[in-house]
Amino acid sequence: MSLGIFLRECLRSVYEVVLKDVSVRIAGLTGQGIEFATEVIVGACALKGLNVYTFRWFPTIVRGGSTYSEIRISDVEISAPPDKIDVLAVLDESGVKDVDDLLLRDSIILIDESLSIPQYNCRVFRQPLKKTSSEAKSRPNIVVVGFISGLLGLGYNSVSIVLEKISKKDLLESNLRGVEAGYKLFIESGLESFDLPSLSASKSIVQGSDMVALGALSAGCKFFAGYPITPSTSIMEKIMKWFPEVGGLAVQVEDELSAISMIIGASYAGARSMTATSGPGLSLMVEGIGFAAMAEIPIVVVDVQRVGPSTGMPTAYEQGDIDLATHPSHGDVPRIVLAPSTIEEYYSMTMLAFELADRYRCPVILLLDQVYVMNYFTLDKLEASRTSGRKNVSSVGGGLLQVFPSYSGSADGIPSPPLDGFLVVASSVEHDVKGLGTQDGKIHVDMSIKRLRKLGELEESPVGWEVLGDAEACEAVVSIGSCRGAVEEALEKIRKSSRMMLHIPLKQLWPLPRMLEETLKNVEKIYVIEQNASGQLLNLVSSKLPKTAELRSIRKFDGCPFRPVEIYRGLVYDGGG
Amino acid sequence: MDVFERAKPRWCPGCGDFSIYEALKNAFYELNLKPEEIVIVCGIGCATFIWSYINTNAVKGIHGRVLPTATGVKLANPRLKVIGVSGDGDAYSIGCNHLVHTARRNVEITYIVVDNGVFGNTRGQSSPTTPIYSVMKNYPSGWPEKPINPLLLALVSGVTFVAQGFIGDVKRLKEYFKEAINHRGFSLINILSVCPTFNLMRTVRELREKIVYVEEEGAPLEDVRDAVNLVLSIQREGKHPVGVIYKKLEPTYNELVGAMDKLDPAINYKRISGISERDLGLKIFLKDQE
Repeated sequence: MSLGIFLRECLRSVYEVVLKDVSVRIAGLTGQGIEFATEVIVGACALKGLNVYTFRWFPTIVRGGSTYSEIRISDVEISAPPDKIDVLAVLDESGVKDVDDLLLRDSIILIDESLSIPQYNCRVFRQPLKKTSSEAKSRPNIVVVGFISGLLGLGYNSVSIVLEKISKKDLLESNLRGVEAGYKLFIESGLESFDLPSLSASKSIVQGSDMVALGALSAGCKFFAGYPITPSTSIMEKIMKWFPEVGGLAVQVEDELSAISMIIGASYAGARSMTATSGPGLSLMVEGIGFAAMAEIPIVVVDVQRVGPSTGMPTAYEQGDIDLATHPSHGDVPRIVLAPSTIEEYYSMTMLAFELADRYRCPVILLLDQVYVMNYFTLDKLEASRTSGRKNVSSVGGGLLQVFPSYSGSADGIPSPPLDGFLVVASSVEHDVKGLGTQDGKIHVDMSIKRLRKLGELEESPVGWEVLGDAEACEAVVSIGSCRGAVEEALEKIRKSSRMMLHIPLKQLWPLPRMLEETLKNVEKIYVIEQNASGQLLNLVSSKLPKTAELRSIRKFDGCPFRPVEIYRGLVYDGGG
Repeated sequence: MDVFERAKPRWCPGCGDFSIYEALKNAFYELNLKPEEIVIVCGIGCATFIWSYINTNAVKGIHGRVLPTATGVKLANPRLKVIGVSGDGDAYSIGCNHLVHTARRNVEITYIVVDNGVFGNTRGQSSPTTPIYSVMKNYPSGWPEKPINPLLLALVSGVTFVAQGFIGDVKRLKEYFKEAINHRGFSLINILSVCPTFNLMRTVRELREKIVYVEEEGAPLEDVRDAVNLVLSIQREGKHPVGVIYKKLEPTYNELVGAMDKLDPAINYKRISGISERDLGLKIFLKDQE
């Protein structure tokens, strides 16, 4: 028995004894309604108060590309993809891939009788999915939803409530028929239900894009400009939907160069402003980011990372923009880079980004993960601190008409025109305290120091600083973004073998917190965990890690998020690329 | 004291930019505008140094991005008079894409493009308005590209106010500026200018000889086809149309999206919670910061 299978069997016994942890994968082609099926199942789980983590693999082809969706359901909070698949529903054989390590002996494969897939060592149920769906005048994906909801024990009631909420009006009847037919197939199959429990209160279903958009609203962001790009488009769409209700203005523009320039103009004119993009867009925006830093105009730039370089794999997940986000633009550019690590933080750190941008008058880049932005998760509620919104200097008393000393650091708020008795000048060229252009080397020295000094405070007292686990441990993990959930789950198991480890989910990437060195100074071994090929996080933090510690890198870059068992293996096998 | 004077302008002797400086300053005076009501948004190039010399609010931006930056200013605070200043490189080379799209949006910006047919700030390379076969520093055996036609580009892109000025006629130039600033919509004034240092192939005298004032031809026109024909007929004779060529009232972007006032920074938490509960079934709890 290989170690991998051994570990899986261990995990399996743990799951079965301690908690309900069931995972479903629906595989097929884009256009077969796999996302809709996912939404229905997730919705029904949320109604029962269950926790859900979803992950979707999909190609850029809108119709006919192979795709799958994974839904992990649990009665405790989860924030990582599953280590196993209990139910694999197959709508098209091409969607079945990378499952060898995930199927257990008890796993169920539900497949249409007309399809054939390689033999797996698990329970295969051939069902007339397509025939049933055409008899019911419905669609195969809906029949699968009916079968799975029976299998999971979600109840026809919950499913129909969700269907009524999210079905297109003219499809509701056929959807309800399909679910009923699928449910009947399940009963006839003689399979035993997983019998997922009903917990007390129902939960809300959210995507990371909801959290970012709501965070922007709650921070008083009033201007947005963006250009459609996978996987950040949904943020733009949600903001465009909600902004009119809160007095904001969102614009879809011709390209990312325009987007970044427009939010700089709007911020100069007094509005908290934001754009959202993905890797290729961020590459285009860097000159503007440098401009905002030089002219000290606050902006928030959201980057939802995808697989690079260049066009890469647009719909897949990677954390490959760490280098670019932390080192955007030429020259000595003051910038702040935040990487939230939980779905809740997608809300609170978006709000925080606007506060920091205004406070330090520089660009803030929110470095986000595709898995969180595009997939569905369950949440009870959101909590955050209220912010006051943009404080504009609007009146400083009359006086002679002169240029406001915007760059002296003395203004309590951000001057924006028209300003009573003063003019406001913002400049991309080196300037004096009023913003007026200069070629004076001495002024450049003073202004450079002034701009860079702003970040000293954040270096000393970083935002989002957290140390999880045993602070006295002699081994540590530093992770980024959505890796957090899988790391925590792996560490839970590691700790059972009395191996002590602390975990820093690093959220402030720039400026790097000084505490990093302080916290890790007695640690002997440090594992840096991230999803890219070259170890960008490792390179970034290595200057701040104690020289005495051994460094190990655990990386994954196949477009899918780390599963807990993969990190567990990495820690047990002692790192390695 | 001259309220619009920030510093003594410094360009090469004989530069066309002096005329633009004079005409723009005087247009502001005659329109009774106050410096604090105006934002000049500049790109990169000799002409864009105007932000250092004319005393108004100013954004000195990056190369080619005058129009999106100016659009941001205008959308966030529609009460400001927004003037964009570019050279032919800024407007028609690196920033050409934005010209077309700003035209489609009809944002109320006065866009001044100083067209001297050369990259002067980088000391003498061919620009998108340099005539084909011109002998340039970077193309000693002749520039092999056809020039852009700014007026036709503007007209077919949907710019609602298209004019061409000439630096040898500051008085008329000022009038075009005044009319453009008062125009409700996006206006483009291409200004025939010279670079006495790096473009010796174009002189004020030579330009003056080729000028045709379009007001004598019945301009400004309201039909874009008529305007295109007028421009083409004058240009076919090797001449330059000067004056306000085309002018039409169409809804502005601010009007279309209902953004007629400065964006209010106030946050309505009750409404935001309402949106979250309605669309996501998610309650938001906000506490006051300590």
